[in-house]
Amino acid sequence: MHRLTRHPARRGAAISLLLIPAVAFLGVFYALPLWDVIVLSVTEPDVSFGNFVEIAEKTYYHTILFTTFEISLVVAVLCLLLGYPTALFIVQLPPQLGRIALLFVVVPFFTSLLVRNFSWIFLLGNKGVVNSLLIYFGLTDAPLALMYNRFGVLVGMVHVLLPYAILVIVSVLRTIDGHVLLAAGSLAAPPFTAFRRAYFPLSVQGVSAAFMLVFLISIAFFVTPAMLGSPKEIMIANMIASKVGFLEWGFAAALAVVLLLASFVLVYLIQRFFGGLGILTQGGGGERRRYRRSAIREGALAHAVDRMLNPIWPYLPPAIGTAVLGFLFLPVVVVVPISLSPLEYFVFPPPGVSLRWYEAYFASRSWTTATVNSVQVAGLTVVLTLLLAVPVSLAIVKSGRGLAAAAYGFIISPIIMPGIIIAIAVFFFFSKLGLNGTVTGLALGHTIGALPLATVVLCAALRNFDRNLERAAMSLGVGPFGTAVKVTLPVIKPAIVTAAFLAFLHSFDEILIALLVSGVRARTLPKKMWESFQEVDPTIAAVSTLLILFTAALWLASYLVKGRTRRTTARP
Amino acid sequence: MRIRTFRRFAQGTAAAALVTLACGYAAADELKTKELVIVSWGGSYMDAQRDAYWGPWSKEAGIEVIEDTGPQIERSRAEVESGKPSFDITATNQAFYSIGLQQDLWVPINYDYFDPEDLKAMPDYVTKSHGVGTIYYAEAMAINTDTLAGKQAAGWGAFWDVAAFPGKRGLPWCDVATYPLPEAALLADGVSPDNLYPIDIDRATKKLKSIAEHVIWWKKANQPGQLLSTGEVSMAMAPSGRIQKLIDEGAPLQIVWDQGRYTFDVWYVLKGAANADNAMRFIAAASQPEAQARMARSLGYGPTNPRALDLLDEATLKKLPNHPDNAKVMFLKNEDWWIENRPKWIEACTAALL
Repeated sequence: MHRLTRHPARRGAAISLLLIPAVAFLGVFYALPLWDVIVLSVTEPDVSFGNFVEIAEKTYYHTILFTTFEISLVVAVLCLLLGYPTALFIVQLPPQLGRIALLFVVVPFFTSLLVRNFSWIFLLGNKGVVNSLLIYFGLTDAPLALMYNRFGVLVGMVHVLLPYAILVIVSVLRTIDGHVLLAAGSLAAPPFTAFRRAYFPLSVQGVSAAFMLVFLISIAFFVTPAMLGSPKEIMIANMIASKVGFLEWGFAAALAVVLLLASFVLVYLIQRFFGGLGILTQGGGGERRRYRRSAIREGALAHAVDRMLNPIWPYLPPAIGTAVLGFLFLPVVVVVPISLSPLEYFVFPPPGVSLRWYEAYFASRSWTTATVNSVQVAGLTVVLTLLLAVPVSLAIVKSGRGLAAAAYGFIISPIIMPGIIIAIAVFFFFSKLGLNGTVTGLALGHTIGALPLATVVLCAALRNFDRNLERAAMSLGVGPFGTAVKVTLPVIKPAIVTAAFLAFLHSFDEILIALLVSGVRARTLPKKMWESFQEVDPTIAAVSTLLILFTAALWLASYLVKGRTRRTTARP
Repeated sequence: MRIRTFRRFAQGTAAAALVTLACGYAAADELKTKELVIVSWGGSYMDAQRDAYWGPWSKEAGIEVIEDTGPQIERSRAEVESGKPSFDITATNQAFYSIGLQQDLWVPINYDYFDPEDLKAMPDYVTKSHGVGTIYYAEAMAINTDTLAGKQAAGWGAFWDVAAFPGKRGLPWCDVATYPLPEAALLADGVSPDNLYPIDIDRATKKLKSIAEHVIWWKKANQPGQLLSTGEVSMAMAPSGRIQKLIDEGAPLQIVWDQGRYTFDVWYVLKGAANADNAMRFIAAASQPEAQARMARSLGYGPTNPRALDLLDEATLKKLPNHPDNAKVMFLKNEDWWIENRPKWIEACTAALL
């Protein structure tokens, strides 16, 4: 008895210590350097609040800020509506098929953003595949405007962010015991009602994490809206990048401050509005809230939705999931043929077949060195990120409410801060430490952005985790850290894998820090891809294709190895 | 009061001392360092630069050239402010050069290494205080000859005439540096090329608004070539060098020189550069007729040293933006107006078109 009463307090204090590494890391490598740049907002071009006054006075900045949040919200909602059924479809597939489905989710990550943005011309353009099909089937006479407008931006952004939503939700769904549905079914609940009342409440953590992650990443987007939209889709990060490019750094910093503050206010409001969907107000009392919410939902509306969806629900996730996987795969259909094109510019379908761009890739030392550098940087980023993210996530989920919320807010803030601002800050800091032009420096820089991604994923899975397992372990006398290692970590393993994967890809596709920090000696693949400013080199399509093949091979290999070990362990 | 004034002042003094030293050593012709770090845009342009400029020079001068990419001006400022820039020299458009000059980021050019004949031949506006012109190119109209088969466009009036020349238009968005967006609008509105500057901003934005619904605004310089070659737009304002490269590759495109604007890129050296003296030697070498002629032959960029024109055959000359036949139908960018009015233009344009 004595033991049980003393335990929680001691555990709370001890667990809070786990906040330190990640918070200290971001404090030193992100917050302090950033402060030097943020200060420019009131010191450049002169010491005054002139930059902020200008932002307040010029109405088009308000329009752009509004557009930014509007697009981000729509993208986040779309990613949930499409991502949740897809995730559900994937976890309900037999394991072998599930792995292949996940491969379809992962593959688009490996087609560089640059190639992907160009490949949309061939899919959505006037003479693109979609319009050609519509005209062929007589559904329209003239090509529809599918890009260089809001629609094009939404398609492009959802395509980039949907895999994040799916991976986060899948990693949470994997921690749910699927038997709850069987139980509900055995109590004669119709399929959608069973899902809504028994299963969905257990996955709310995944939904809220996926929503916030997509929403926050969208806020700082700028390449995709710039290339697929019209002026009406210009987002605030476009303005910031443009001001940085004219060396109006004070004004750019002021815009970044406004963006950060507005984002936090908005996130807070979304939380207040949706209550339990929030991510900052976590802590104890999860179960109690869950029951209260499901009680509220039992209104006439819920019953109407039930009646509508019950007959079709068994078919809905497979239908949406298959369509989404096809959608995610689309650019690959364009990128692979372009990589085989004999021409120096992108033509689809290509007029012939040649291996010219593959030869160009393997013959060029700068491409191959860039690949090696990128893999090293990304690998190191994964290690650093996991070392920091796993402890901090445990601490955030288990320690006191206020402290956890503050730490969480701080750790996710780099997602919203436009990359170019972070890049400049980090560059100045690294130049004092001699870290520019080194793999270590790049990995440290990339960890700033990878840490929040990993933390969001891990916290979602940990919050969903059945605490009773831990309580059971503790009651058997296992200490808090022993419990974490022996009980908690194995259960959230899918989430750790997802976090590692997102960290790897964040680094592998990162361009802004790479542009400034990589220097002569540590040039990465994205820097190599983006370097020629007027041309789009089909070598990029070849690199993307190679990465896709490599990922697929790795996926297959891990499956074969797993299959074999399972068989051998099953035999004795 | 600008902050960092003291740091800049200190850097400036140091750089000035360095240059003075460099001049002293120039007579003895002893190398102070053995390296030069050059940053450029990569791709086929950097390949051509290597072949034309520093490939041959590096061996001759006994200086090892190290290449890097990423000449964005924000990087240059960050490098200079760090006190120890990781590269020495780059060449970009004049907008970046003049913005950097306003923030005091470049070293004054030491013209002592120049061949006096070259210096005499190159016009004053090319041999600037802190930079030297390297290649002429045009920001001109380009058209897709498949979608506009049999139609001959001349001047920006045709660009605005959507009835006679069907199809979408590609134009750079307001804040894409250096493109002659207001100039094109005014020319289309009937202003004569001699009376373009100072630009009537109101009139230009009104004219742009009148065509806005037909325009796909591009934001990256790699977009217009792709938009044109896929037929997504039938006409676009584009960098001539890229379009020439696509034509050479077989894309159905044509450059319309009429009422295009020609301008040039500038070499400049970063303050605090470790190999500033080698950079000065390099600029002098890259301004020699043979080097500039090599660049003209490979990518069709015009030499800033008129002596190079004597080394080129007629076919090459015809591709150059500053070939008399092409130059006489174009106009030269007024850098002074742009340095003074760029922020004003971007703001008016954004406010009008957003």
